[in-house]
Amino acid sequence: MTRRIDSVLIAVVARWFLCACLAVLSVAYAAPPGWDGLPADADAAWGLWEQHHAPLLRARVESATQRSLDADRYFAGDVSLSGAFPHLADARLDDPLVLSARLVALDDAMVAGEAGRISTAPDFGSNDRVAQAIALVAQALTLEAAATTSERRLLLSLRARLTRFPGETYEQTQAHLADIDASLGVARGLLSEDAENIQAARAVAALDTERATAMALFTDLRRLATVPGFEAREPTADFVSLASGGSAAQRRADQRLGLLRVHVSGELAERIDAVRLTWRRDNVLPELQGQLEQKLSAEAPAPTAELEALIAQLAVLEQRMAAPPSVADSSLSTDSTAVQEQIDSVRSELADIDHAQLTSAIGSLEDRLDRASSQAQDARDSSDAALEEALVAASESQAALLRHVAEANNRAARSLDRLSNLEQAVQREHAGREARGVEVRSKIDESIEEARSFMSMSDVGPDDAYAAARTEIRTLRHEAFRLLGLRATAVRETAAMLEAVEEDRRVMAELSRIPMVGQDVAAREMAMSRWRAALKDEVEASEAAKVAVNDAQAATLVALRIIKEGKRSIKGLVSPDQRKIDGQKLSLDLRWEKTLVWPAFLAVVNDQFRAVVEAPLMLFHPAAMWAFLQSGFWLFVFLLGWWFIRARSGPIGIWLISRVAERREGRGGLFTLQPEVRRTVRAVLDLAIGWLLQEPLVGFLPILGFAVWVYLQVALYRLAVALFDLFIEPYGAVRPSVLTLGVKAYKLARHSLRWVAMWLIIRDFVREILQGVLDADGLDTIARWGIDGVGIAGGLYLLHRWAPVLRGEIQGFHQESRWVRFLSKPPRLAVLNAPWAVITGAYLGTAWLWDRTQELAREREGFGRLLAAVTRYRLPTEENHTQAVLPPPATVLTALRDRARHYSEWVDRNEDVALRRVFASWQTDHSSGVTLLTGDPGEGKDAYLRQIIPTLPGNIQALYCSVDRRLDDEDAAVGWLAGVLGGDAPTHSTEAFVQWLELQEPRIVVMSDLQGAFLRTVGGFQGLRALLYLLNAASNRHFVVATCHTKAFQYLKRLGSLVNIEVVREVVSMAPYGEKDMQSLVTAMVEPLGYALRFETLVRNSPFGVDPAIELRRAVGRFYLLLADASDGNPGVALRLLTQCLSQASQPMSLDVRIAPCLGAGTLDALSDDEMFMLVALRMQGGLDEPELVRVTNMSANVVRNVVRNLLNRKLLFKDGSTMVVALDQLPVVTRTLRRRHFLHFVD
Amino acid sequence: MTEELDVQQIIQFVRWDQVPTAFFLVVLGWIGFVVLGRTLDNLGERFTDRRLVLKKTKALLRFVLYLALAILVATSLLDIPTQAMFALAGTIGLAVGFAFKDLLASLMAGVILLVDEPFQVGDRISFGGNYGEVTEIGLRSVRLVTLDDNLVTIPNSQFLTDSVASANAGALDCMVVVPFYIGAAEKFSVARRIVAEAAATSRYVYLQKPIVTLVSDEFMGERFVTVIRLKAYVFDARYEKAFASDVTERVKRALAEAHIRTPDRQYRDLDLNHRETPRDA
Repeated sequence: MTRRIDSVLIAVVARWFLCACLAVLSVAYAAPPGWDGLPADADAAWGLWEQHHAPLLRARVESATQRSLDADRYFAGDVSLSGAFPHLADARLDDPLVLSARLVALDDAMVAGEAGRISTAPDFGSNDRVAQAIALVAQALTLEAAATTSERRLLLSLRARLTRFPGETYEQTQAHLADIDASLGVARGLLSEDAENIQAARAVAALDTERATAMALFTDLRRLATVPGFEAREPTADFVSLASGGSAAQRRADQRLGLLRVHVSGELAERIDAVRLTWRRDNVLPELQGQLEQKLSAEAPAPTAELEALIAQLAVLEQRMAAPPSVADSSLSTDSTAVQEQIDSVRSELADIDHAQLTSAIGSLEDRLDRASSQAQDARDSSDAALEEALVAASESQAALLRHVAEANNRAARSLDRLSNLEQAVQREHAGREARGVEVRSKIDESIEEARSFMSMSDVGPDDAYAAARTEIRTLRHEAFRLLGLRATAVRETAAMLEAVEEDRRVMAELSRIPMVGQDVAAREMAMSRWRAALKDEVEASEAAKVAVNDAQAATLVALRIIKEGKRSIKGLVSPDQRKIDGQKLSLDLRWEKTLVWPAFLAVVNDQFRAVVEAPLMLFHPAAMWAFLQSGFWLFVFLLGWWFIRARSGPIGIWLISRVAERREGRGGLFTLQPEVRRTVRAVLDLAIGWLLQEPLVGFLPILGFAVWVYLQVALYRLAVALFDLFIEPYGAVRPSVLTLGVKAYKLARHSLRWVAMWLIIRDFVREILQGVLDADGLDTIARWGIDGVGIAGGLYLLHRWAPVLRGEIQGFHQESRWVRFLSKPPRLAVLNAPWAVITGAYLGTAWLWDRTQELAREREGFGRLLAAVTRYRLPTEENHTQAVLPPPATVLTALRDRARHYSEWVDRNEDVALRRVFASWQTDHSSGVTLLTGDPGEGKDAYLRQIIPTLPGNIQALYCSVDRRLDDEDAAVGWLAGVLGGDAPTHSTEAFVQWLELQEPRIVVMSDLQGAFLRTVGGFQGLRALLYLLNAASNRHFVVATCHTKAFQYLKRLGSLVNIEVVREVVSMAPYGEKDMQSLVTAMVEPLGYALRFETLVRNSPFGVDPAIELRRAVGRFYLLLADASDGNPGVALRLLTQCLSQASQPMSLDVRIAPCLGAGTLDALSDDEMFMLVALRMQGGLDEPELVRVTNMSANVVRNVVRNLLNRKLLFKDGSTMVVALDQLPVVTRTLRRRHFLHFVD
Repeated sequence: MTEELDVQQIIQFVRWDQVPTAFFLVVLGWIGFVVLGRTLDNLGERFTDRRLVLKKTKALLRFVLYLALAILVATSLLDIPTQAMFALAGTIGLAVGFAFKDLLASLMAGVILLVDEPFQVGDRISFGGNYGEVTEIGLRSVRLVTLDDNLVTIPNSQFLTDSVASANAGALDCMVVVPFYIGAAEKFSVARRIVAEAAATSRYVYLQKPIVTLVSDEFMGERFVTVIRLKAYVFDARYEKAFASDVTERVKRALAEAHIRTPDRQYRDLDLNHRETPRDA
């Protein structure tokens, strides 16, 4: 934090300092005196110019000339920085901020000068004067520009140098060098201890490289003499080795030019190279050669005193001296000196030895030394030549190396600049494009919202949004096209750059092969590394530029795609004008798409490829992996579920068939449909789960989503074919089907289905490819036209083929219909076959649906109840008859009502099965309990029992009785039962009566109207309880069958412990009649009377030309269906209703059947609660008199009387003696009303 | 000054050309409410066993229609930019919030009542000393008709804090508890059968659910009595009291016929016997 604050403070102080510098510089580099302030008079102005302005300008010319000369001298090494650029003497030139400020000041000054140059000169009275003044001004400005050029070059060089090593000031570099030296010492110490210490060796190498880099900067800064107070110092040790030749000024010039050389190019660079090369060749090389000669001309060693010992020693020395010196052996002179010293020491030791011997030995030694010296001299001569060549080559290679590095740097800098500009431009364009896209999308969304809402909430219309989208698309296309050009340019430039880089690498390889020594090698390696870095930067910048252009283009194409999608989504809402504009611009769109389709495709492919390639990288990214696991979990579950369920499509199909077969009896043939059902189930599963999978897959990996979409299309095709095979079969097939076609029609239908399905799939596929992948709306429009055209043509062809098939089909219809006759004939022209087929197909389809509806209504399958309404519609009601109807003869009505009591003998029922089973059981163990037969009034319980009981095996006597009075208590029950059974039955106690029962011969006791034994009052169940007890006891000896009203029995069942209904072991319910039973019953009742029923009045002509005989059969079926519904399957009620539906017919001995209002399914209106309660009581127990009604309903007698009167008036009740009974023909409507009003809530 | 400015700003936001549309919407909505209410009421009467469901549907639909109509009218009549809406929300919203604090609380409570369903329209509830049938759950209040045919209006917000008891909780039937008191020395088993038969034979009883009778001895004041509690269901909650009355009437008649005395009668007889004992003695 503190460091951050410090840096901010420093930046603020630096800026204030820069401002101060600028203020000073603005005075120093003021613009040349302009023309302002001169009087209007020409002579006066010239006079003032001559006397005031001109001397100033001349002084500035001289000053600029001197500054230029000083700068040249600085670069020539003759003067110091403070001498050449006094105003820079105290400046911190190792600070980039200072350098930048200086450069800005120079620019400002130059701009001001140039402004003065182009301003209009005043009138000095003559053209010569004006020209003279202008020339003087131009000369001053030109010279000042030249003077500032040198300074600018110096500042730019320094700034570039510091920019490459930001933060490396003189002090920091010095400290850094010290640190490196310390580390290097440690590393070298470690390496000397253990020569195989690899880490130490690497550390030494790395530190050496680092030291070389830092040293280069350090040297540059120092040699520039830019550091205050450094100029007076002596050259450092490392500087001595290079500074031994030439003058110090020349060396400085060489170094300064070397520094400058890196940052200049062209002619100036070549000139600097030539100067430096020449200087090095002329000064440095001779100096080196002289130095070498000086070393080699050292004094020869003297012989020693210890002759024998020293001779050997001298021999050794001779050998050493005689050995050819290496060019790189800098210790040669040091060895000679050492030998000389040794010789001197030997000579002093041999001072006392024989002078003659000594002399001869010395002579010998001197001879040998001379020979060795001459040999050494020869070797030195040859090495000098090699050295000279090496130095020249090194110098040249160094120069070439620096030149190449500079060029590479320049190229890399240009590439980086271009990349930076490109990225900024891309960023700007992207932001603009995004803003525009958001605006257009919001317009589109608003217009869609507006179109969806029924009230206008927004002012944005679809047309506006559509037009905005079109404009944006145009802009984006131009942008994409421009980026396309940029991309081509970037690719071209990258290729050229790669060639240049290859060339540089080749040169680099050549230069590296040139032998160098000492610091030249280090300098070369440093230059090489800089060169390599520059090349790397250049390659990376070029590649990055190419990638940036690619990204920009892809982003533009994506934006274009999004806007196009928005445009498509709104297309259905726009006005015809906008579509017209689209049509006009179609050719333009096509041209654009032709240009952009390939880049768009490549962008999509690249995007997908990148997504696929980068997908495995997600494994290493925890957040992405977690997100994938979260989203991919359900994906995995879906896939697993898909696989699991799909593999079980066969069992699922069998299960479905079983369920249907269970619900519909006699549908075992459905099992033959297993293959088709399996295919259907599989296709449905594919569609359902695939549809669920597609969305997440599109979000995760669009290419996978597209693959699933393609698969869904195939699944759709499979489903269509499977459904066709499931529901439609050719004639002759043994399995069930919804529709059966002739073989030819079947093949044609299947062919048509496949053709249409394929056409639809291809249509969608092409659209998905053109719109979703290639983003080509224009192409899609053209393709759609083509595909639709093919579809229409194919459809017409199919219809042409269908026409004769359909004609053959309709020819089988009844020809009374005008439509049927019309369509049965072939059209006059073959081209009319197709429309003919359409009309015929529609006719046949509607007729089939109608027939199917009628069939379902008749069978009461599926929506049977709903279709009953259709049935009712198909039968004309009384309102449709305009002529008066005559009621049937009274004899018929009487006969029907009388014979209705014996109707059961004409209808086969199944209730006797249960009865016979119970009877067989009773015969076995005589403990069957009471058997109860329940049913509503009129259902024929008693008649049925009288029909069945005599047929029971065993020839057992049957006793028929009916509960004809209320059994108020136990005594009443015993008394009544004793009276019924007859004989001497004891009635004083129940137990005695039971014992008497057990002594009687077994009999069948048939007891009717059990509901009459109780009254729904407190204490009204005592008699019933006793009766049930007695019947249960009697059932051990006798077979007891009782009948009871259904509603009464259901009420008793819910009383729980109040009535022990458990004694009833078997309950047999009378099943309601169906329409076929009704038809059998009515036929059996009417035929014996000699009358025939006529249903022709119920027939309505079919609009589809159906045969009237079929219509008549259907009308009959519909009538009995209604009769069964209206009577709730109660035959007694049905016969009563039938009497209301009959009327005298025009033919003799025949009766017309019509639809009376009693067949309706309505309810009773305007019934009060009291009336409801009354009807409930009567409906439950069958018949009650008024006092009983008072007790049961607990209403007052007056209320009961009023209610009864009202109900009698409405003919809902009739009076049987004193007993009130619900009218039989009103029984269904009363029951229906009570149930809907929730009053009859206790029934099941 | 600020308020005047706000009012002026609000007036600027009104679409005066949409006023007829808004008026038309209000009229249409009102007609819709009336038609819907009557239709559902008639259906409820025709299909009694679905009456409560229809009433609930009516309350829900009316609530939704209220909100939809308010939103439609507001959006068609006012054209407030989003920024202005946020700006006005600070002043008007605060003022309206304070002024209609209770109303808003009741409104939110109404939403909660519809979602949470502690009771429904048609239920018999007991709340704050009032017992009656809920006839309406409105935006602001719940209305119930007591057995005395008084219309009681209770703000919705009160139902969030106080406890409410529902007798039938959405079902058409509801339990009725009727206590019968007999002398402790009477034949309670006979009395119990009579009570059960009286309930079972009543025209109002709902027999799909059980009839329960409970016998207990209690002190009533200073007298020791036998209490037979009848717990039975009436098939429509609106006959709750009629059922109790009908059963009581039947039981009293049957008890008298069976010579089973009430506690008063038994104690009076005992007192008489006690007084007569000395005379007899």
